[in-house]
Amino acid sequence: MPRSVFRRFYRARPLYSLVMCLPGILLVAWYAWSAFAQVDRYRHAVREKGHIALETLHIALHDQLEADIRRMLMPPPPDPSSLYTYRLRVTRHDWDTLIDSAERKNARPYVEAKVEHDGRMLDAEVRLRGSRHWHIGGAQKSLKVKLDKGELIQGHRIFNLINDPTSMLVGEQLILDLAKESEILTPVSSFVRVKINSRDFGVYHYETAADESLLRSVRRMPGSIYTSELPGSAATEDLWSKGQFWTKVSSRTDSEADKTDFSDLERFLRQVSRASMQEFDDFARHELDLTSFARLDALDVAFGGDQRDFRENHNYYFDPYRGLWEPIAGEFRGFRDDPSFNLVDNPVSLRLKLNPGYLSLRDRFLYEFLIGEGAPSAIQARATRLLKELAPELRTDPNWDAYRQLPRVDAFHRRMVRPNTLSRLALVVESELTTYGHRHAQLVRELEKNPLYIDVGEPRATVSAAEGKAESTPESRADAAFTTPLELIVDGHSGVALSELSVSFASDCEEPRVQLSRKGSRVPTRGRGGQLELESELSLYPTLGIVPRANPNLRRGHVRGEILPTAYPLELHSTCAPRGVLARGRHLATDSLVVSRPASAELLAHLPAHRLGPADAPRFEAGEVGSHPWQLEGSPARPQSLGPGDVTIERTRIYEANESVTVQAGTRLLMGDKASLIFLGKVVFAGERHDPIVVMPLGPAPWGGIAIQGPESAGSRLQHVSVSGGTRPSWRFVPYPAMLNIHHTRDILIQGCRFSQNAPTTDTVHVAYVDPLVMQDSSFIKVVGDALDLEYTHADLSRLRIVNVGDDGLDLMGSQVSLSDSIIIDAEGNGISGGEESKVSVQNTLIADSKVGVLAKNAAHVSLSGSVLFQNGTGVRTYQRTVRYAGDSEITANVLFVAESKNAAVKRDDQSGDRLDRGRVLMDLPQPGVLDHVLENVLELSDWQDLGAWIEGQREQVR
Amino acid sequence: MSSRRPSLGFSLVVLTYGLTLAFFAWGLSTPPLDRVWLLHHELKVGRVYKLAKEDRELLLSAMARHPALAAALLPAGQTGIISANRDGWIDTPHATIIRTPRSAAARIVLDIQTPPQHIPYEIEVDGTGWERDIAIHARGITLIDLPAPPPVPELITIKLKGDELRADPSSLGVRVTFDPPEIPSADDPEGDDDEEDEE
Repeated sequence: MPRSVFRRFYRARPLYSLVMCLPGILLVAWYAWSAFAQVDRYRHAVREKGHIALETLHIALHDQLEADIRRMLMPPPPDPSSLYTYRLRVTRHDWDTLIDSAERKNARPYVEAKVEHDGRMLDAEVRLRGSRHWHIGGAQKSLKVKLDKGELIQGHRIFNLINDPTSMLVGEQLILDLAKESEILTPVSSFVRVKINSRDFGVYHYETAADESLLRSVRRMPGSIYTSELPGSAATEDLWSKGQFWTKVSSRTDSEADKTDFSDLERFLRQVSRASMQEFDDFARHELDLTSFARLDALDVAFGGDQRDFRENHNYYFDPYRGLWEPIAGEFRGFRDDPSFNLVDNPVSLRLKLNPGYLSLRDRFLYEFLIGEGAPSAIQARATRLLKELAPELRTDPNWDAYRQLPRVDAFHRRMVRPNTLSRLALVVESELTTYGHRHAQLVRELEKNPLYIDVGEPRATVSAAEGKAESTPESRADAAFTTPLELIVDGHSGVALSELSVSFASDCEEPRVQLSRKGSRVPTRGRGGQLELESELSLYPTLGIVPRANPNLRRGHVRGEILPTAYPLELHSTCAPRGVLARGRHLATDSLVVSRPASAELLAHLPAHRLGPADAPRFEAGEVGSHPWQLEGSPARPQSLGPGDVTIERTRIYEANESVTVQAGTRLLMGDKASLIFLGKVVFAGERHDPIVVMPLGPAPWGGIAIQGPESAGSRLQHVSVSGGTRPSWRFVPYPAMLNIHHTRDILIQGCRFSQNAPTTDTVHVAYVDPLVMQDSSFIKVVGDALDLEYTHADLSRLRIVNVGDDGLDLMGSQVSLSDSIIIDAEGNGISGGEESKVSVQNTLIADSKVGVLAKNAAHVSLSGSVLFQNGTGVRTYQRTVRYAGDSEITANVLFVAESKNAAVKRDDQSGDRLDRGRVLMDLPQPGVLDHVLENVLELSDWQDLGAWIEGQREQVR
Repeated sequence: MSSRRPSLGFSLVVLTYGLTLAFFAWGLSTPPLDRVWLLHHELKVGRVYKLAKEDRELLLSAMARHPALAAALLPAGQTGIISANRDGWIDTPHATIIRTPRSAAARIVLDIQTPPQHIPYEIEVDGTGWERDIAIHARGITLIDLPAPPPVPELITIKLKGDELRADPSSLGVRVTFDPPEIPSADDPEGDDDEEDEE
């Protein structure tokens, strides 16, 4: 039989043989056509002209076969997946609409979809995202998902599911994780798995936008976020001079006025593009979060990032209550090696680097990073951890592909998307980490270089031997016989904090005496003989010059920054002629001790001849050099004292961060019309119980307010101060809402203070970003607006008396507050309003006669214990008002009496029952023997039945 | 049957499936540029440091076909090491160098800082159509004159021939640079090929 079959086959007629050949021919035709179609689609997407090379077809065929073999041998995806899985449902018609929209560059339509989350199907809209072929050309499409208002997944309503085309895959995520850990504002991102209509689409990169959700997630106040949107046709200068090329993606409030107000951005752009060196220095010190800018810059340098260029990828946030601009991280394409620190510059980075001290700060962060979390072994460990987590998912990803998997012979080959495998990924990761290792070694080597040089001039006799009298006799150098000019030169990264000088003399110089002066003023020193130890370090910063780029283009710009040597002239006054001088200092990046070396003639010749003056504005042109740091120096620190007695403040006074202020007991600060006090450094109002400090209007017109602002004001105290009749201060772009404002600082004590009669539409005390605030024995009497408004603050409040309040007694947002032994009476709003993830503990407190006793909203948690809510409109209320916080609010109680509520004891929007989450409500006043501490010590009563009359008495007193 | 020739149909079937197999064999074979990409990374990380003859030929022919390839494989400039090295200090006893026709390098500069216990040893340098053998007797600088660059990119191999020499930069202690020096560009266009365009 087999023999017969073989014979028939051997003797087959052409027609039969054609039938037999057909499967082979079809298979070849199918793969040949597939490969051709794949290349053709790609050529169409990238508008490649010319013929298709056989080599390219070979690559496409190879990829096709490999992908098919891989799919055939692929195990099923892990169940459950270690990644969060987004399950989307889209109708066939909507899916077709989505696919058809790939060709459109703008205004792609959203289609309706459902997203499964926590067992619920959430309504959403989906559209294609991105225009590159890897986003829309393959099976795995990049998507933008917008949930319906009121719905959140992991705190976000809008997010992107991106087909990440990078061959290293984990590179950007790794840097974003590091940015987040460095406390740089960084949108949430991770890897997820996506299933659409139950079909597995593989591993995606989940990215959220830099919007208000980001601010809420990192407990920051809503404020302006701007993102650059410069069209290709616009000039680069337009981005840095016109607000129209920026999109405002978040604003302080939801009001239309706020959303369309670009004045803060315009000020920022004006400072960047037109401010003089002096103005920008002032702006940078007061209105830029230099730490965040420097940390992000350090990450860009470490990884060789080049995305924040002259035109693209700029996101900035203005924090209203810190009054500072911050950069928002994103778009890292790192793992590049290059001799430059910054692969690209941009106007903001150039202005920062031109400003004294910024480079030293940046390079310090950079060095700390490189020897810590950024050490190659640490980066490798991170990458390994990420890959280990992802490997089972990638192995089962049917659509895993990547570009940059061919040599860079041309952009066509470089951008060709090809199937990826774990072995290729491992090789790429190893290769990129090798590159990173090289860059790391180069950066560390550069940073560790000693930048300190010295050039000692010829000693000049200051006492004329012939005439026997001194040439000049300032007190500081009365006994000097020689003046020697010397220049300390910083050449290299970071700079030096000069700490000491060693001056050597000839052996016949007995008991030499030396003094150091700078610009004619004596530099305070200690030490004997030729050893001079500076009483405080003298910072010697490097400066930046602007040089042309070797290969300019629109994005990279035409210039870049280059560090230039900077000379710091000093004078030595000595009794003998010095034979040698050695300077020692602390390296500002590494903290290592550095010893000066003689400056070479070549180095001296390289010193810039011209620099921008303090009044000059850089135009980002080659040849410009930053001002000498000593030209932009502020006044030295000095303590200030106000009082005692009457002190008239007619106009706003601003005390800088290096000026500490003490207001003496018994001082009366008489505040002029709209005059305010702004303390950027530490202030102590040292009032005493029987000799308090009074802050009041000078005349009939209301004064401004008081602001204690910024980290340098840490440790400020207000003791026994009476503040009344104010409105709100005004300083730069901070929207102060209250008569007293304490923002962005630590360790604040308010004790024995009284606040009253602030102007309409203002709050009384506003505290934001303070940790901790301790407030004791203080009262708010007859105030409009909120009495005490705490935002993102840790506060310990005790023995407060809040009576007759225009709005809330305590208004809390994102704060952790403990309140005890206090009284809140007659709040037109809420006695306590706990909102936005606040955690509030209330103990032994009476809240009476208010619209709502205690309100918990937007995922707040309020715990009440040993407290009485009496005669309020509603005793306890919870609800979810905004869409920005996921989770329910919660009120718990241990011993809580809610008596004589006018409307309801407990009102909840989230459930029908009028009960608390934990604990129970007692609906009448405490019986004798219960809450005696509150009755006797807080209220100073003997019977709870006297409470109504006592409250009326309190109200009467206020009237 | 044995005496009879196969039919035309049989020949057609054999030929068709032969071609089909050849087609798939070709398709499954690694495309030259793909192999170059792999080699580039393997050389860089030190997984491969001694180029096999076929890989060497593949690299040379690919560089001849694609004029931009040689420069693309180099970290910077027109002459450079593509095997594992750190700032010119070679990681492996075989170092591979690419020299493009535009190279200005007239000499290879070997900074020999090999631990004295591994000296003496020999170094063999091979290029296209030329070869040098150098005996190393002491630490110091050794210069190797290069002939004019050929019209197509050239692969130069430096082989350190010593029994004690391991693939360890501290054991080798040889730095390879060029004269005149290749100045790495501060404006490498690496990033241009993946610029993103997002909404």
